[in-house]
Amino acid sequence: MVLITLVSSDEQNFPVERELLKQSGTIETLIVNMNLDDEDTDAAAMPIPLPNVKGDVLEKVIQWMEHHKGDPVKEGDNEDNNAEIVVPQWDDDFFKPAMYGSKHLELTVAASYLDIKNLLTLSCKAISNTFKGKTGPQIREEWGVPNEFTPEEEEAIRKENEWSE
Amino acid sequence: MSMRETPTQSETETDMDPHEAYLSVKYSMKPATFSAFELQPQLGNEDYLSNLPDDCLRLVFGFLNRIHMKTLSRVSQKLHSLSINLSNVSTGFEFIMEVRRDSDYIWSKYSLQRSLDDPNHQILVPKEIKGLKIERIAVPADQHENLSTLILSLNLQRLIVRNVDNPNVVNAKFMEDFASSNRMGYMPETVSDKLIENLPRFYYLGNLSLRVPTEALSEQVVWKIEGMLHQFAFYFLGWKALCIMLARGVVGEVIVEDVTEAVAWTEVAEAECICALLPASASASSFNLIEPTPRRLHLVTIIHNAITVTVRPTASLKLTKSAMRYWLKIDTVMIPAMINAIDPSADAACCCTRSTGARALIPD
Repeated sequence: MVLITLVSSDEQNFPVERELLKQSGTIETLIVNMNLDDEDTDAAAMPIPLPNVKGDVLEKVIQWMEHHKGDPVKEGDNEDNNAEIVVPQWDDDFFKPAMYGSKHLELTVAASYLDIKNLLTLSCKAISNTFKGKTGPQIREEWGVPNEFTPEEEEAIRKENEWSE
Repeated sequence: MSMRETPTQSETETDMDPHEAYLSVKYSMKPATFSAFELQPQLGNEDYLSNLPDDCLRLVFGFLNRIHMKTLSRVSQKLHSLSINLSNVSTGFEFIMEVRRDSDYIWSKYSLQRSLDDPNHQILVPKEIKGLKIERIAVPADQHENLSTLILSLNLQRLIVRNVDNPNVVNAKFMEDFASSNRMGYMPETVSDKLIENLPRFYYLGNLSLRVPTEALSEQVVWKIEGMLHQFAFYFLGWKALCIMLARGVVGEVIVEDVTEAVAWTEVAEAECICALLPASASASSFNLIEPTPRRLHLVTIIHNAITVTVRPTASLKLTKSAMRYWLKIDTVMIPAMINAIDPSADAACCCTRSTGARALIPD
């Protein structure tokens, strides 16, 4: 089994099974372009630095990839019908503990950076689910979003959408 | 920002259903699993949501319908600006417009969405944009008849591409006569003479193609499409102005392919009108042609399930400000387009309203 070492921004090393990394478009491209999976070269021993991903987040990403090992990897733009995407129970449980915190944000950003389409899709879907059935103030409270609108602006927005209400 | 109460540790360690487990982890100070990952979520303390990169937010928004987006637009400035520009929430049919220039291909795809809570309300939003800023256009039920005008307004914005230094002179008398035949009567109320004075000169660079796919439409919305095409047919006077500009300035080819029987008669009438106006059907002198050149107009009355109108100039169209005044009087759809060309903050593109008491835009 070929192991490739990923190095997080805080310089933690994560040896990861080569097969798992096929889920990450970013890493896969790097591996292929630099022949990192060629065991006969020195490159194989070269760790891959991921300066945009912290260790705890990378650990979480790897945990997700391990669970989804063998899943088909999406290619190209996501043309799926969004309405049909359902977050599986395992993923739901995976996301929920950190849903409203910075870690979910970092996980989502990491999925985007590493080009792990399935993770990004499910993560964003999970985020979107938190909006449904909520009012603006409720969303603000849950996500800690400050109210930047003046009363006048809020009234303007209300009027803007008035025709559709 | 209020914080919720934190469950006790004993509560989190007992058997509980997944939702309770979630809540316990979410609000406890010491989660039971997920070791390094779930540092304590700082609920309500930081704006993590708005800090998501725009690309991620757009992806998130793609899972939401317009009602949710409307809610989100009231959450924060950033979400407001993103959500109102979001495209991928289509619940209706899609309207595709393409604008081609000689070597450059600018395209945009619009989604004409039906409101979930009221199918009589529709909204036109850009689905894909490349290199151009465009505004969302909200279309209240009482303005559905203006839909084609709004769509073409968006499309025509792309035709105004840059100023020219040496515009040719066009025949103002002809334009005035043509203006008198204008049946549209649309006139944005926000246009001032001062603004007109400041309008840039421009020329038209390339092909404009409009295609309305109808085959995928449900029966419920076909009547709207037909209405739109009908309006489009009436709008042909605007196109006529464009054709005349082509005719006046340079070589041009106008291809009109119409489609549904419901509007074919109108298109035929308008096309005939154009034929009468084009130099090929009238004396060149009456149009004061700069370069009288053979041109042709194709009219195909019924072709499959789409309408395509293509105007193909083979060289640049040049206008003076004076001529533009006349044209703007005729083709008022151009006015919001021009406003946008000058001042992106102007919202006139979104308020193309019917006003038969048209503001005077009389030339010098």
